[in-house]
Amino acid sequence: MSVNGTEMALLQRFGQLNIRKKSPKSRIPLFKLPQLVLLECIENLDVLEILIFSLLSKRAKSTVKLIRWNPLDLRLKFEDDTHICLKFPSDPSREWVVDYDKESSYPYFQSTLKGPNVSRHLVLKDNGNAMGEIKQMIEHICEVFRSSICGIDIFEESLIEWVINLQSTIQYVSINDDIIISVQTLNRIFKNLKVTEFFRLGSIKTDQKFEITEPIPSRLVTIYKSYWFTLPAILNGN
Amino acid sequence: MSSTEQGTSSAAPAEPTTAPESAAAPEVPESFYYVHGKDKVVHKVSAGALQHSALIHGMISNLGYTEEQAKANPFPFENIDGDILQMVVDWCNQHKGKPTPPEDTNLPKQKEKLFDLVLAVNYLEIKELLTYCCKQVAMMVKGKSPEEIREIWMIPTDAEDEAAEKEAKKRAGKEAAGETAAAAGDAK
Repeated sequence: MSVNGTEMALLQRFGQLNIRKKSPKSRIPLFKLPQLVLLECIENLDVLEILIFSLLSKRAKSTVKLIRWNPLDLRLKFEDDTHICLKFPSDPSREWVVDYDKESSYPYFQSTLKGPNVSRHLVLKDNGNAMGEIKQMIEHICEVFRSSICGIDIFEESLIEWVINLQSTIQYVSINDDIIISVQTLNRIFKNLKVTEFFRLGSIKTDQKFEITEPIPSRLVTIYKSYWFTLPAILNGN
Repeated sequence: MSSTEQGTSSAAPAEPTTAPESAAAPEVPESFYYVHGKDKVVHKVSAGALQHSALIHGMISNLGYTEEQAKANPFPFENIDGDILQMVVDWCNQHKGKPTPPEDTNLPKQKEKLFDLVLAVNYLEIKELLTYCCKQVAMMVKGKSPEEIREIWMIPTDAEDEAAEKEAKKRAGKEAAGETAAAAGDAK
């Protein structure tokens, strides 16, 4: 992964957030502070601010990595639009979301309150290359916060290979209908991706007739148009 | 998270200063110490107030000064500006014998001096004030865009960092060469 390239691309995107042009009066040379003090300052930021800060430079990124963060619950979701959801398992009522929105003409922050739950959103414009940026962003978050992907909605074929290369075990995976278009891909998923909690498999778009006899090692499995999933596979599963 | 821990830890030793209110307890005269910064202006501070500073508290414990000796030998903090030391002393006096509330309104507001204040507070090891100062530093960039964060916190770009690193290496090389030449000169 080209870290520098990733950061440059993301920063260019973030550059659009520069709404207020007024030069701030008070400034502080953060990197001239003693390291422990500097780290304590960063610990006072919220997740999205830490994320933005870590994208400012290599030095900023390596500084953020020095802090021992609690692992984040990181999920890539696909509902009306694509978004990355971040939570600390110890505080599930607070959520940070990086949204990619085709309708939005410029990036912005937004906070929403649903009952006791608070979501803070960073909405980025989907320029048509959201998929590439989402992958880079997730890799960056995993590295900086020393976290792994907890759940993923696979809504595009390229995500399959990407996630297999990034992480071999995931708790929740949902593959949308007609994303898998060959038996080879399905076999590759079963061989290389261990889904521990919930595995949702949408319909498979192929004319080929095939059967899967190996069990799917997940606690809960949902399969749409499951003619290919045979009785031995069910009986052998746990 | 950390402020709660620090709040409870420094509140305990300060309790004796509030104790004289009890009718049974004898009135203990408070001892005072003296500190000065770069400007040589001497500040008189009570031992109770100075307990916030782990550094000064350690110095007092180790030196065992009498009040006369303390007056004659103010603690010198030549690396701290006078106005910054004044802010710190004021804060220590305001919080003498009390834990700092989570939202402390008695703290210095001048953001321009925040950097020097953080350095001074870190040097004097005043944990509660340092925690608050770090929050203030973080607050400076709340809701700001990346470019604003870069500007407020003066974050150099990768190119600037690389140039500074090259420059530092060059300088270190020159200094090392100078030292070698001087050592060779001495040997002759």
